[in-house]
Amino acid sequence: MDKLIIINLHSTALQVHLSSIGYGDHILVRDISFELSPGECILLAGANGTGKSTLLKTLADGGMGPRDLRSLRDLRPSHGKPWAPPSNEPRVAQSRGPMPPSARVILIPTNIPKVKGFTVEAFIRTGCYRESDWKGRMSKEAAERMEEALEVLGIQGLKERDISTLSDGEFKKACLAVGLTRQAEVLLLDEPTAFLDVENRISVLQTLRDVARKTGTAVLFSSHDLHDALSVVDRVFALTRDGRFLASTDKENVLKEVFPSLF
Amino acid sequence: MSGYYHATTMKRFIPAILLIIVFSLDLMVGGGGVSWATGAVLWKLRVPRVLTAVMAGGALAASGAQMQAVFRNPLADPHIMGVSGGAGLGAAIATMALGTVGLAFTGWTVAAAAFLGAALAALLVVLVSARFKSATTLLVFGVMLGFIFSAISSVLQYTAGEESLKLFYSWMAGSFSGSRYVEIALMGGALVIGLALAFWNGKGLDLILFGEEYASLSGASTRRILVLSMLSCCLMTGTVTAFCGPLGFVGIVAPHIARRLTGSSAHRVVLPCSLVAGAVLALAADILANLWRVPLPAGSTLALIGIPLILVLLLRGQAYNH
Repeated sequence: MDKLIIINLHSTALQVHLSSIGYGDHILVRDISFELSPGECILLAGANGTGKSTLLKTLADGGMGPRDLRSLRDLRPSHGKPWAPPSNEPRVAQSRGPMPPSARVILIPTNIPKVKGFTVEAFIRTGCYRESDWKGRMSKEAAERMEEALEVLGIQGLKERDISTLSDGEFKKACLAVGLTRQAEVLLLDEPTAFLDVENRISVLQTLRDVARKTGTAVLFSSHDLHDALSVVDRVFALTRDGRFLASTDKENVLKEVFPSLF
Repeated sequence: MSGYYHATTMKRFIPAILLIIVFSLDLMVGGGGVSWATGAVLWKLRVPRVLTAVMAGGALAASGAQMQAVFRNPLADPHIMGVSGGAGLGAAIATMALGTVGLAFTGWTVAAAAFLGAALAALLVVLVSARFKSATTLLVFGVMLGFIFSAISSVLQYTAGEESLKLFYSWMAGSFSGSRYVEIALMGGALVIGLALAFWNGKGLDLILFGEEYASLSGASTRRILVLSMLSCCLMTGTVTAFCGPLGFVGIVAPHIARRLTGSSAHRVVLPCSLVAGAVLALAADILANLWRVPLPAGSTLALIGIPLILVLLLRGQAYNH
């Protein structure tokens, strides 16, 4: 991974050039190059172990700002030892300079536990760690963004509910609300449809598209529910078993190349 | 919904009301039963004992709440990180090893050595936390550290004389008696600093409940959260253990009671409520210990009260849902 440039132009939410991603000497994907436009909704497809989560983590890492890079050291998949100090990693040094502070690339992981004793509002506030004061109080602007997010996601009525009582689909939306309240310009989701039944799956996928359209946030998510996801996305990124990165608006053809037996 | 809210709000005051009741009751207990005390007996014996119980219970409970969050483990308590084992080893060295080379030992020597032992354990854990990023690995390290310290203490006991063994066992049994206002002031100071650290770290403790990965992705430093809570716990637990001996169960059970009563897992609510619940438990244990002509060890009465409570909470499924 020699190069990662993230810039924030009006027409581009995220521009990415990565020579490779992987762990240590094990390279998963080479030559990743793409741009995300505001309001775009994109599926990241690929078989297990092809590097979907790794790519998402790498992007989130790069987008979180210089101070956060240190705390993400152990999560960041990269060349060299996982614990190597930042000075040994050219990518960190590089992303410190040109990255504008407003580039907010936020990743929502798969398996956030539904901890009992947090209302949806408290859960969102807790997730806004950087956006709140030491007491955990959000700024007025952030509170307004939270209300907007709840409205866009259609879960205003759940604000006072304990998150442990939410259905998996509702909880996924609460997690999305965290990303929106944190003012994500690019929202990355690792398997948001995992463990959901058909109804919730469709609902979450449609919500992802609505979020992209209504808020102008670029949404990139990985999923194995290819057929359901295809109907809501604008483009498909795919990772092949031999480590290639494919991107196309010709959604079905891309998937055909990655999963020849399915299409 | 408003009725529910009202009930929850009322429940929050239960520990505070109970605290006033058991505090008063405990002042009336001593000298082999229930009796009024005035003058020197009240001010030199009972008030210090009751204040010690309040501070010890509160400090251990607030430490337990932090450990349960950081390790996302319902059975974590301050002793799990080897802090108590370290204090035990310190006390063992002070009472037995130093005794054999002819050095005088007093209550203060034992307390200082126990605190140093606890601090050593804490230092080791913090140093190791730089290497092991995962809280689970660190938890295993802490537990193992505790076992090693206990093993060394056992070796010392095996070779110790009768007099030093007696002193060591009386420290190990745990007691709220015997503290003077100097010791109480020290415990109070540790409690204030430890609590300040815990509150400062409060939103980090909330966030870490959702896992280390999520915390990192939210822009928090998991190491900072861990180190701050370790410092807070070690300061509070180390000081209390030094003066009162190793006291179990308060740290485990009080945070569960707090979460149950408040219906919240947010630490700005859980910490103060745990503190009060811990103080109530310690006072109750102290009452039970001092009802008899020969006072029982506080460590045992705490276990007698604490263990049934833990079982009830666990069996009713009110533990942390991780």
